[in-house]
Amino acid sequence: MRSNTSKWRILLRRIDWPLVVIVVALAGIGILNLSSASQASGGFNLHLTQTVWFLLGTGVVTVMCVFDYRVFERWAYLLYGGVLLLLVGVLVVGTELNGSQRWLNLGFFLMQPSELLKIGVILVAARYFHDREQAEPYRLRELVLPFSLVGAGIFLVVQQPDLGTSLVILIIFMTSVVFEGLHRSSIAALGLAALVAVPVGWTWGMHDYQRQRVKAFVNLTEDRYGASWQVRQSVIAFGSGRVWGKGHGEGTQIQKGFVPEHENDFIASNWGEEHGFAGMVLLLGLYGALIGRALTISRRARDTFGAHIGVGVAAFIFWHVLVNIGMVTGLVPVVGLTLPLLSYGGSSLLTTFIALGLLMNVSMRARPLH
Amino acid sequence: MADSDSQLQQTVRRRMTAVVVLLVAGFFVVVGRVYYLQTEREDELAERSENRTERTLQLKAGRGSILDRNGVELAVTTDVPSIAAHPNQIDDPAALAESLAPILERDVQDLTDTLSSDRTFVWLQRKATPAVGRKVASLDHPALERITEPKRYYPLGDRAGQLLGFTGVDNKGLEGVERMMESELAGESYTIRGTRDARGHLIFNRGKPDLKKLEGNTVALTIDERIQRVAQSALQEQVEKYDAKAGYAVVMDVNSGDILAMANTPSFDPNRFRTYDSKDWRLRPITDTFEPGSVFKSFVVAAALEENAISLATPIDCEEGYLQIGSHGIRDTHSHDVLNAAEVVQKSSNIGAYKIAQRIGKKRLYQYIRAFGFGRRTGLGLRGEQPGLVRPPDGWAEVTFANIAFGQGLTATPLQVTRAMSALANDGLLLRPQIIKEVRTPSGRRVRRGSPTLQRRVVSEQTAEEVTRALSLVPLEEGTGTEAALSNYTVAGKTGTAQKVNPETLRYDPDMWVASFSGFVPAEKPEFAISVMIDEPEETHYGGVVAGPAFKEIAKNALAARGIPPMEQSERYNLTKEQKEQARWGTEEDVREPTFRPPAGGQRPTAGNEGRGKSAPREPAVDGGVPDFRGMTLKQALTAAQKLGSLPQVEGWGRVVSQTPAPGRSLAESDTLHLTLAPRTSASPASKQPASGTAE
Repeated sequence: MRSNTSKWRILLRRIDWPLVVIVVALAGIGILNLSSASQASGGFNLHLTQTVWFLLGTGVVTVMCVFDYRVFERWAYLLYGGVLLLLVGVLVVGTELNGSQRWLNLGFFLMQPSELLKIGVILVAARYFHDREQAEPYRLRELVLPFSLVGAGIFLVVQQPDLGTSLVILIIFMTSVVFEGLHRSSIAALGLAALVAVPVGWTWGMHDYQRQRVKAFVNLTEDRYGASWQVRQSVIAFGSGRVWGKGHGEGTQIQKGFVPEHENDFIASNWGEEHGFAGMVLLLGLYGALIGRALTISRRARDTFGAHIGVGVAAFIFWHVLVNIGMVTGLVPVVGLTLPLLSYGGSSLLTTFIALGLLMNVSMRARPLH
Repeated sequence: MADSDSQLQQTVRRRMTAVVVLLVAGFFVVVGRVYYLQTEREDELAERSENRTERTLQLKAGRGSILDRNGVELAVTTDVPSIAAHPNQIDDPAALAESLAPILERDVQDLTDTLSSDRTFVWLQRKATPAVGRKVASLDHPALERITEPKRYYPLGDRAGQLLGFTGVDNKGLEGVERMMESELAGESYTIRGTRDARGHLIFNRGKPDLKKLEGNTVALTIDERIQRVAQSALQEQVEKYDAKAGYAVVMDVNSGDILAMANTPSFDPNRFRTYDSKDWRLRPITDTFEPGSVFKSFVVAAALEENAISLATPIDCEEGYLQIGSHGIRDTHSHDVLNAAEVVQKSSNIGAYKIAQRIGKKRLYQYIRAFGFGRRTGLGLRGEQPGLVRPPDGWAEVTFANIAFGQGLTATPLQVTRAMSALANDGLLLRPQIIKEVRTPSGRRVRRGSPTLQRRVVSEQTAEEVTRALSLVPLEEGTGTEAALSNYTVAGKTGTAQKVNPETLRYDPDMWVASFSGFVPAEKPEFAISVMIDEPEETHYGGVVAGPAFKEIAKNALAARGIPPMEQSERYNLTKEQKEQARWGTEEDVREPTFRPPAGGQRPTAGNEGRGKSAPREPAVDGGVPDFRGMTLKQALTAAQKLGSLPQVEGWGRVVSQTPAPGRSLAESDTLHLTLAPRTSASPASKQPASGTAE
């Protein structure tokens, strides 16, 4: 009983305040930004709903921190297997929206298991590399197991279809692999595989709407009203924000409804239009700080598993931010990725909080509790 | 152990560095992109954002009205809905087209194609009727839009249609007075700033400016709508009776040069200008020229009298109706031996006219012809006016000289003939004809006013009076123009029966004539110069017979409309016994029953119910029924009718005295609203009996 109370005390003392401050700042920006964006969404109070999700997220983080993160090490493969089963379930009984079947209807909530797969991949990679503890760079044949596990997950997500999520999962995993080190010959082999995969994927692996998006991206200015409309409007929103922005609630591009999905994947264009380059520097700076903090936690972690979780979460945040901002500024094709902590939506937010909970857990337990 | 530990640490550091470098590089790319968009291309992109969302609309304030000389509205501007659609927002174009087609009266397939386009905006119908606008509104489709636009409306239909002209879709005057007075009539442009959302809906930031101030000026014409109306109907009647090609009439106020009426048949309704052939848009009394024929003898005689070459009593040998000039011969309709100069005019002897012309010679005749204003434009200001053709005298062969003496071999517009005639009526003074009475700003300030402009004296007062006396003989029993005689006024005028050149053979065609009568009333104290020309009448072609009755009709009604009382018998020319007997003050025929009385829908009111229409209690509009328009001005009635969704057909001027359907009755979709207007008080005898609203 006594040791139990002291455990709580120690845990409370070990809360990673820099991480908390960064996340709260980002969450604040997210709610502020949604309160402006929801004016353009027909007056739904999206920011209030989002606040509720943030509170739920805080609960998730708290629960995640109670257990030692090594519980996840023990159950990594099983959890991953569970996620794969959910993904199979999606393909069988999933809910279809806008032409893709990505959701499981839980009655009160549409769950998106591909989001959980991101966490699953981080855990599996961490577990695998933790088990090896290998100083030399890995060769490809030594990575057959994690590649097939991750590959299976990605295959299921591609079936939904959800190209964006599958690519980001692959790239998060690849970041972990790079962190472990890869043999030169293996890098060459992967490069070659990628070269082959692109034309093959283009011809057989992609759906028409996906090809359309890539084409629209390549010919951004030619197709005025078709697929690239959204990106063009978003780019205009950014540019017209100039250095200091138009002010809260004053973004005409968003407020007048020129940017579809402005509360979701394209939320950054609202921020960029209303708060300008200064606002974007602040936002990206906070993300940079978050990633930096994740890497610091990774470096200080007591074991390889914790270090890999830190890297994995850093990669998770990094690739979402990079691809999302790249996409809304016309740098990469539209692939449908959310901006962590800013985009409206429960699934993505909860996944982010699970990842942050893992990170906090690793940070708290960098040293033994006693 | 320490060695391998440090080696591991080194490895971890190296891996970490690799990952950090990767992440930092990625961040640089994204920040760089944002930097590029927001600080390098920001001007261009901001401009595009504003272009897309900020709209400045160049609009024109309402066009000014065109009135007749008494303030009757001839052209007004009213707001009507234009129907537009946003095809990119339509999910099911076929279904929408199905429901829209009967409303817009368009082909379903055609409409489906229009609605299926990927454009953001298309017009479906510009300037639709208010009824169409309401039906479209009742569809309540988010992709349909109604935009209020001003439309030009000519409430009197074909009244003075060619003179008024019309405006195009952009409300710019294209023909007639609308074009001539464009700069006065056009409303000032103003800009409103608004923002447009992604669906294209406009939201205006600021209120509209005070549009009343920006409205175009009101132009009052010299036209008298009542006389215009009679001129048109009288022409129409003669043209139909004699199966003629066309008819032209001009009425001019001899004392001011004001054009009181200018008509040509076939008539033209500018409300539906597209349904007419463009040749029917022409105001032919100024755009078409004719050989004036015997009417011209009036001016030849005037010239000879002015030159003292003859007096009215000078005997002229008319050669028994035939005179050989070189290889050509000229003849008279009726052969005469010797006539005095006045009788040459009265009986319209060609030979006599030639002999009179010979007395002053070619050169001087030519000078008089030019002085009377032939061969040059009158300066009325309307587009398309023709100068007519008068060749210089050195080229005249003797037979040409003879022809010119009786009005062949030169051309003139009906307006030129009328003006020359009015110079004889106006003591020999030639005035510039004018069509604009005044121009007023929306606030009522007069900015321009037409005033009589003297161009020159052509003949002396005495000569003018002598010619008038000769012309007064024409409508008498022995003259050629008996059909033009009025019972209580002396008519001075001249018939004309001109041969026409067949445009195919380029020779005078024995079956092509222009019958005309040109003159003025009352001869003793002239008010109006009136010319009537009937182009290519069938059966008979004598000017007195074909054009005379129309002249009479117009003259009679013009006198009544302007309230010109018959003259005291002692002041009138004492011409014949018959005239003396007929002359009585104010008979029923001429004064009390003018043809321009407002058609009150049948029964004439008795004295007892005078004013009943205006004192009748105003009935509120019954559900779905038409409101009570009675007592409203035209403008009020138009506004009220607009709410009803109908553009009324209007007769008369002043205030509404009767209407069909009656107040409270329903206006069936196909039915049009007819309104009859009449003035409450007027100087003219006719208007003292306003029609009451007893129409059923």
